[in-house]
Amino acid sequence: MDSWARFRTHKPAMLGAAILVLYTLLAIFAPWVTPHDPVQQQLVQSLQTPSAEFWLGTDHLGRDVLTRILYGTRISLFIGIAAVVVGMGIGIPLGVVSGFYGRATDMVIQRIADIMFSFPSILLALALVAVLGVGLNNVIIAVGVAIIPIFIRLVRGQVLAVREEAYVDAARAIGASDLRILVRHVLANSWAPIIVQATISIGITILVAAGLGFLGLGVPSPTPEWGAMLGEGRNYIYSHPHMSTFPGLAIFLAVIAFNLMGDGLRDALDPRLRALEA
Amino acid sequence: MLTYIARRLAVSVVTLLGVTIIAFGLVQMLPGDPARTIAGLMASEDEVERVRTRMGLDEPLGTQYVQFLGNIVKGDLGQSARTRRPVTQEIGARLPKTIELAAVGTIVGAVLGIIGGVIAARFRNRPADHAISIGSLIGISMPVYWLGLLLIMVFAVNLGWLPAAGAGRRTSIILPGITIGLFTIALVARMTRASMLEVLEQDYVRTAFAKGVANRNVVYRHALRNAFIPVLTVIGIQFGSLLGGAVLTEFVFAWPGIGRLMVDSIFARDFPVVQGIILVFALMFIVVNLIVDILYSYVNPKIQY
Amino acid sequence: MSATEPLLEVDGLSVEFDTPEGVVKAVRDVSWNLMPGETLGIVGESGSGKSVSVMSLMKLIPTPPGRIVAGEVRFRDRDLLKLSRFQLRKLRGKDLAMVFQDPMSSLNPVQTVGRQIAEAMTVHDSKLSDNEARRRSIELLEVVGVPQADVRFKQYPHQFSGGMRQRAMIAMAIANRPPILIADEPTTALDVTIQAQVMEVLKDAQKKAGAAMVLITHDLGLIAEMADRVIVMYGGRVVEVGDVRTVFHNPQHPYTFGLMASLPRLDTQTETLPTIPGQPPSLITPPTGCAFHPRCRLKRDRLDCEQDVPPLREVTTEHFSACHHTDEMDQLIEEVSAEVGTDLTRGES
Ligand SMILES: Nc1ncnc2c1ncn2[C@@H]1O[C@H](COP(=O)(O)OP(=O)(O)O)[C@@H](O)[C@H]1O
Ligand SMILES: [Mg+2]
Repeated sequence: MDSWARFRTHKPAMLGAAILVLYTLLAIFAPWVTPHDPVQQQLVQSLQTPSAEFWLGTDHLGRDVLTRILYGTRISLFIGIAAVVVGMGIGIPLGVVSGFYGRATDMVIQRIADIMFSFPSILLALALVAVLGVGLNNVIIAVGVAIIPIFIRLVRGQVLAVREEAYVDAARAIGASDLRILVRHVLANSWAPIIVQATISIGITILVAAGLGFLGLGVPSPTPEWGAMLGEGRNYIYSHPHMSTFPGLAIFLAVIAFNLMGDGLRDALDPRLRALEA
Repeated sequence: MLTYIARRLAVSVVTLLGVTIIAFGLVQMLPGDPARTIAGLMASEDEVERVRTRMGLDEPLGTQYVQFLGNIVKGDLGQSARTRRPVTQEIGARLPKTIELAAVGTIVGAVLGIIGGVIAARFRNRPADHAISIGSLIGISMPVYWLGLLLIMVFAVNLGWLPAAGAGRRTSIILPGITIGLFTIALVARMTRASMLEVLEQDYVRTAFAKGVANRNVVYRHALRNAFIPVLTVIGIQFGSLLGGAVLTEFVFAWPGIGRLMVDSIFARDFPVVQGIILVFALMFIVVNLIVDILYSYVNPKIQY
Repeated sequence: MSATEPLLEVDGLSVEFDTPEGVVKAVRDVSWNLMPGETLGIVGESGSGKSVSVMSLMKLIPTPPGRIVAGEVRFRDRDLLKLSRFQLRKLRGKDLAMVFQDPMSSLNPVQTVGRQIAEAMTVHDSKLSDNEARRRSIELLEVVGVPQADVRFKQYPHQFSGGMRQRAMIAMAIANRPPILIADEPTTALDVTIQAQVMEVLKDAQKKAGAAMVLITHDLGLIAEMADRVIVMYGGRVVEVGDVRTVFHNPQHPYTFGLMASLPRLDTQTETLPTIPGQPPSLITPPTGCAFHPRCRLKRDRLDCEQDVPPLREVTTEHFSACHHTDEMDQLIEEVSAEVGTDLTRGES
């Protein structure tokens, strides 16, 4: 059975994929799905409980919660994915260099990874936002930087394993350059665990980014972002719990979907890999 | 053994030095005048100047860093821009609460997580395993801040059984403890299950069966200890992370720990405190890891020094 | 030998594994007897079902994915495959004990070697005191030739060399003086230089315990030296059974002959050893008829090989072969001898 067949028959992974497809469609077609505006304040209709017109109620500024969640899909998924791209973009080259060249370079990069690992992701992201300030780009950078060490470690381990393989020696023997060996052989043989880790990491970055938003240190209002919505809803938790219940559910489902996909990809791409890392 | 600890210690010191560079650099990276940043938004010009000379902010960066390091060694983390009290005092007053919460979360998580993971592995692919797997997936995917809010809605607002915020009462720890513990339970259960399944496939487990050892004893006497070795590391790292990663939980429940202090300080742009907290978190994490590594070498006879 | 009753009778054993690629028919309709005190060798190339067939005797195969789909294993008037988990446990290590292939991984890394040997006794004798178990374990370590047994008793497996570990495994296996000892490639994972020593220890231990032994190996030389009778397995089936000398001097199955012909010989210098052409059979979609037919020189386009599973037939006394054309074996041996320019017939030498 090939990977794709294994993935297709992996029921949890298919559930995750289905949730993500649904999210993507809703994000793209949000303007056609809902008649309301995600940003425009309508104070006369503020803090309404769920009804036929406002399925999930309205917030303190009279905006439809469902509409904001739908538009928020664009923001929150984008931040999550973009942050992983940032983390991979920096972490993979560092991991490759660290594993391939070894010695002093490796030592330095490993100490850097150690240092970054001494902070939980949320703390690192928080410290960076404290310095950089809030805003979409800064949140992406802060969260992305926080997951760099995960990719350094992963890729370094892969490189160390692949480096010993005979075909790398063979490539070197026929005069291939380091870069060529790295790209053609080392990375080409490491993509499976990288994809698995990337998928799971999107779950992490969504959680961390929404956490920043929840604290009021994410994307500033009135941008509809799930974490920020949850943070605003927190102030109305006694009287209007719908304001925080549904954005939280949106985050939760997205994270579950990426985790399900990650598990499925792991089983499909490399059955030997196990859910050992967190 | 001693050389192992010494080597491990040396690495920790290097890491810690790196952390001081980050903490130092963080404030340097701030836009604007560092003296103004450190003195605080409300400080007068005089105060800003005093901060500048006291901290040597007019000196070259290298000198400043050496001085910064010297102060840390002396236990001086500077002064809070908000309260004017020493940062060490601010942090010291709240640290016990953070440790309390992290300890509760870790202990609950480790105990229930290991039990859950062992049950899941023993009854692999049976209903109990499926239930535990789904539960763990929920646990690791649940935003703690949302879980916290849900718990407050149910147990504080609707039922009125438990306090919603603060640390004033004996029962105050229950909701934040559950919030922080759930993720740990899920994490440890997943890890334990995977580790147990791997161990149960090992040849020495087959040897035990071939000797006529009962199923239950194979699981507890032969498999569990081997499976526990990697789990111990996860638990240790998790405790270290909870010390710093409880920021969101502390915020939701207005729990008076340093996570909450950190968020408040960021809003107040009280950077000496932020800087101090980062250093303290990193120090605690590194120390916890060091202890875990040393424990690890006791649990695993294969490690040679 | 024929006068006595068999100690263990395996009858029609079939074992399958469910894998993502399909159902692996690892063991198909395997039958054999083990006589008291004898050593029965099992040979066959890797994957032919040797380990699975003996592991199934004590239900030691992992289920799932494994399944014992048919067969009986009679021992002392009981069918071992029908025993309850509890009854089976009483039997494991006490009546049937195993020495596994890889001593590096077969010992628990976090328990001392001594404790693991002692456990083999204490699980079957709850009244045995710790001190007594300890004394006997040290004694056992001495029996299998582990020097400084009292020190070694307290050490962990990683402090033992491969050979020493296998000695410890042997000590564990003979701890309860089992009537049946099963050794699955006991020296394959070891350094060549110590293989002979460990084999010697095993033989000695067998003698002391008065046990019958099933010895799995792909080393035909070892079989010749150690075993009384030999079973040849191919593609999950038994293809030839008989007295070791008889089988080696007068193989009655083309596969057995191929195995022996591909061995380097001391008595003659040959440049080329005849090897068996082709690949081991798929166990998911095994060849129809005789599993060996795609690689067999005797087939000569005959349909019976392709269509009918050859039953084990007694060719000479107590010598069985599962080949439709045993009458052509002599011819085959001559043919191959001529091709490689060496006389491959092994006379009574
Ligand atoms: N746990 C298992 N899962 C799937 N297939 C197995 C398992 N154990 C053995 N097999 C299959 O059974 C066949 C026979 O294996 P085995 O008895 O170990 O061969 P050998 O003769 O080398 O000892 C092999 O094809 C192997 O792939
Ligand atoms: Mg085998």
